[in-house]
Amino acid sequence: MTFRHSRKAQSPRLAAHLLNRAAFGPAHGDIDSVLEVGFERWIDDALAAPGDDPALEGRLAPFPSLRQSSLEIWKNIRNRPDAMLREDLHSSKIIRCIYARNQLIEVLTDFWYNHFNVMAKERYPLIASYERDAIRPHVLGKFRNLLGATARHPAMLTYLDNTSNVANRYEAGVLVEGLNENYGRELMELHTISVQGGYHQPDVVDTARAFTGWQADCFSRNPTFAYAYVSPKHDCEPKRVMALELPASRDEEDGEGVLDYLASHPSTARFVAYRLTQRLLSDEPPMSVVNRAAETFATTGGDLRAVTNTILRSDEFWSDGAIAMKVKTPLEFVASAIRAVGADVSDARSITHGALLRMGMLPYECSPPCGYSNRGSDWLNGFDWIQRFNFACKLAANELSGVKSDISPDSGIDEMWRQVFGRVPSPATAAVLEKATDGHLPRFNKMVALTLASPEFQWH
Amino acid sequence: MSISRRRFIHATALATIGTRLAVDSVFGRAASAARIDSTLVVVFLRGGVDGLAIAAPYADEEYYRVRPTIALGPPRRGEPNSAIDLDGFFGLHPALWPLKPLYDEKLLAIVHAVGAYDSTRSHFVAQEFMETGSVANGPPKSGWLGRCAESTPGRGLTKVVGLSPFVPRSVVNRDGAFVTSNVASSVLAPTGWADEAERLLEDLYANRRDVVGGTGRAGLQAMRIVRSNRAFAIQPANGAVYPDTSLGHAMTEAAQFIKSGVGTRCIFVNVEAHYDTHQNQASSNATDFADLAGSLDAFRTDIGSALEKTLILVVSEFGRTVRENGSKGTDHGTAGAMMALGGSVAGGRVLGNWPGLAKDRLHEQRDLRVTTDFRDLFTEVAAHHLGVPATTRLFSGYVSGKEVGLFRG
Repeated sequence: MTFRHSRKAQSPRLAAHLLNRAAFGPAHGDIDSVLEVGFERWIDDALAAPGDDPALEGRLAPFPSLRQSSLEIWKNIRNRPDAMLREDLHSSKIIRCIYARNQLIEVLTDFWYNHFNVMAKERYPLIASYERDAIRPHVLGKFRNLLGATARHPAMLTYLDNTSNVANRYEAGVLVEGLNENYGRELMELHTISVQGGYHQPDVVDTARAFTGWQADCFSRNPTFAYAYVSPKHDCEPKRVMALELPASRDEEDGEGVLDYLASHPSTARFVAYRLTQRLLSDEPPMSVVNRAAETFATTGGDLRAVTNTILRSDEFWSDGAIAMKVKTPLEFVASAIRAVGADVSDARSITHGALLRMGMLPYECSPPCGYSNRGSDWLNGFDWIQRFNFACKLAANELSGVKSDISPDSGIDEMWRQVFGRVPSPATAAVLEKATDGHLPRFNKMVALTLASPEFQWH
Repeated sequence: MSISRRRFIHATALATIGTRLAVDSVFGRAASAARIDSTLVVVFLRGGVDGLAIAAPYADEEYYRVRPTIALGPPRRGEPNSAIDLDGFFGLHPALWPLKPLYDEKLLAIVHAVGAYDSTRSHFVAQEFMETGSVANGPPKSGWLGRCAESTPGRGLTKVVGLSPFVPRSVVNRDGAFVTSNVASSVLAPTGWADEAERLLEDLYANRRDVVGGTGRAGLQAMRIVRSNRAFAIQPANGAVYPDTSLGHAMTEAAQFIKSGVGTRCIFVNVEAHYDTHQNQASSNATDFADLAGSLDAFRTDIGSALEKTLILVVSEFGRTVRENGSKGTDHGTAGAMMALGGSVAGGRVLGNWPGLAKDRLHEQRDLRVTTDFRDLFTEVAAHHLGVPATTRLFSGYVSGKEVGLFRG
C-alpha cells in the first residue's frame, strides 16, 4: 500500500479530518497521536485485525446480552425482558462509538448495520447476535461473506419476512400462494445491485423463489433461533435471475447461487463503493473515487478492507474540498461531543433516550430497510438544531445524568479547539466565545458549550 | 365522478367517465376560490398502504378470490371484520370507523386506483417520485409542497412545516422549511443562562452563509415563534382526544400550527407505521388504521371550524398486490387509495374509475391499475385549496389535464 500523500505536510487539521471520518471525532490527545504515528501507519493499524480492547470490554460488562446467544437471551427473557435488551443495545452502541480503541471498526459496523438494516423492535433477542455474528466480523472481510451472514441470520429472515416465504403450491387443484417478495426485492435494491442494477419484477419473483425454504426457527415451541433450511418449502422449478439460470431440482444452492451472482455483479461493486464513499467522504461523492473503489471491489473479489483503503487513501479524501464539508448526523454529533470533552459515561440513557431519540436516530430502531441516512444533509433539521444546542449546554454543564465531563479551564479555549479541530477558532467565533460571562455556570464551561453548539462543530 | 356499482358494471375497465380536459375550469375557478389562509396537511403513510384494505371493493366479484384469507367481510352489522358500506360497492375498513361520520357529512372523500407507474416498485424510488416529481440522481430537489409554498403569496419560516425526524423531500424549498419531530420539547433550556446562551448562539450563527448557519438560525427563529404563540402551549380544544402515538402527537402539533395563525400553508406529517404489510396484514392494519382514524378524528374535533380552510390529504407511495401472498400479506403493488378530508371537499364519495380486479385488468397481471395519476390529484389540490397558479409546473415534465373532481362548487 503506497500512500499518495506521504510527502504532503501532515497538519493537525488533516489529522482532525481523518479522525472525523474514520473515527467518531478527535478525543483529547488523538490529533497529536495521529501526527506522531503518521497518517499512513494510523490507517494501516485501523485496517488491521482489531486487537483486544479490555478498557472497552470493561465498559460493556454491564450489558450481559451482548455476549449471549439469542437462545440464551430468550431463555432468560423473564428476568431480562425486551426493555432491558433495548438498553443493552442502545447503551453499548454509543459506548462503543465513544470509547472503542479501533474507531474505524465502529464507523464501519455502523455503516454496514444500516446497509443491512434490521429494525430491532419485535425481535430484540436477535439483534445482539445479528451485529456481533453477522455484521461485525465481516466489515473488513469479503462482501460475499457479509452478505451470506446477513441472508441466513434470523434477524434478517424475520425482518424481511423470508421466514414466511415458501413455494407456491396446489391444493385440490387450486393455487395457494406461498411467495413473499420482501427479502428478494430488498436484497437486490438495498443490499447489492441497487434499484438501477438492471432487474425487473420477474427477477424479484425468481429471487424470492430461490430463497423459499430459508427459514429461522423462531416460532416453534422450543425455538433454537438458528437458521434452518426447510427443503419441502423450497420451490424446485427452474428460475432465472437476470442473466443467472438456476436449473430445476436444487435446494439451498439456489439461494447461494443468487448471492454469488449478485455479490460479483458490477452493479454491486458500484453501489457498495458509492455508499461507502458517501459515508466516509462526502454526501455527493466524487465519481472518480467511487469508480476506483468499485474497481478495487471488482479486482479483489469484494474485499472490503481493500475498498475502504482505496477510499481513505484517495487524493479526494485528503483534498481541501473534503474537509469539514459533511454535516454530522445526530449519532456523529453526540459521540463526537462526548469524545471532545473526554466525558466518562457511567449511564448512557441520557444520551440515547434523552438525545438520540429526540433527534430521530435511536440506534437499531430505524424501521425502513434502507437504514438511517448517511447523508448529513438529510439531518439538517432547523428546529431540532435546538436539541443539539441543549445537548451541548447540558454536556458542558455536567447536567446529563450518568455523564461526567472533564472540563478544566487551565489550558484555555484555544487549546480545546486545537484538540478538536486542529486549529484555533476564527477571530469572529473567538470574539463570540469571549463574550461568555461568569455566572452560575463558570465562563469556561459556557465557552465549551458554545464550541460544541457552534456551526463549526456541526460539520466534520 | 363517483364510482357507483352500476357505473362499474356498465363501464369498461378503463372508461373515462367524467374525465375531461378541464384545465381552464379547474384552474380558473381555483385561483379565485382558494383562500390565502388555507392550510394543506399531507399525511404520508410510508411503506405503501393497501388501498384494497382502506376501501375494499366488496362487491367486485374477484375480490374474495384474490384475497382468500385477508378480505374484509361484506357489510354486516355486528360482524367485527366486516367492511363499513360506503356506496354499495366499496366498504371502509372497520378500524377506520371514526371516519365514517365524516364521510356521511360529506367532508371525506376517497380516491381509488390512484398512484404512479413505477416499474421499480421500490419504496424509496416511489416516495422520491411522489414527493418531488422526479427520480433523477443528485442532491435533493425541491419538493411539491415546497413548490406550492414558493408559488403562493407570503414568506416566512413557518409557511411550510414538516413534522418528521428527518427533512422530508416534500417540504424542501428555496426559503427553507420548519421541520421538527417535537415542537413542545424544542426550547432552548440551558440552566441559569438561557438568555445569554440564546444571544451568543445567535451571534455564532449570524454570519454563516452555509446550510448549517441557515439551519441554526431557522431553529432559533422557530423557537421564538413557538415561544411567543399561545397555541403551542394549550390543550386540544373541543374535548379532542388524540391517540397516544407518534401520529397522534404529530396531528396535535399540526392542529397547533393551524390554530396559531403563523401563516402555515403546508404541513407534512411523516408516518412510519407498519403499512409495508408483507405478512399478517390484518393485524397490522387493524392497529395502524385505528391510530390513523383516531388521529384524524381528534384533529377534526380539535380544529373545529378551521376545517373550512383545511384539507387533509392521506397518501402513500404505492398500493399493494391485488392477490394476497403466502404470508397473509401483500407485496409491493402499483395503484392504491388516498383520502381527502376538509370543508371544501365534495365528500361522501369514492372517486376515480374502478379498473377492476380480474387478472386481465391488472397492471402486469398483478397490481391495481392506475386510473388517476397522483399528480392530477395533487395539482388539483394545489390549485383549488392553496391557489397555486396554473402556470406553476408542480411536477416536472407533467402537464396535468384531468379533473379528479375532489372539490365542491
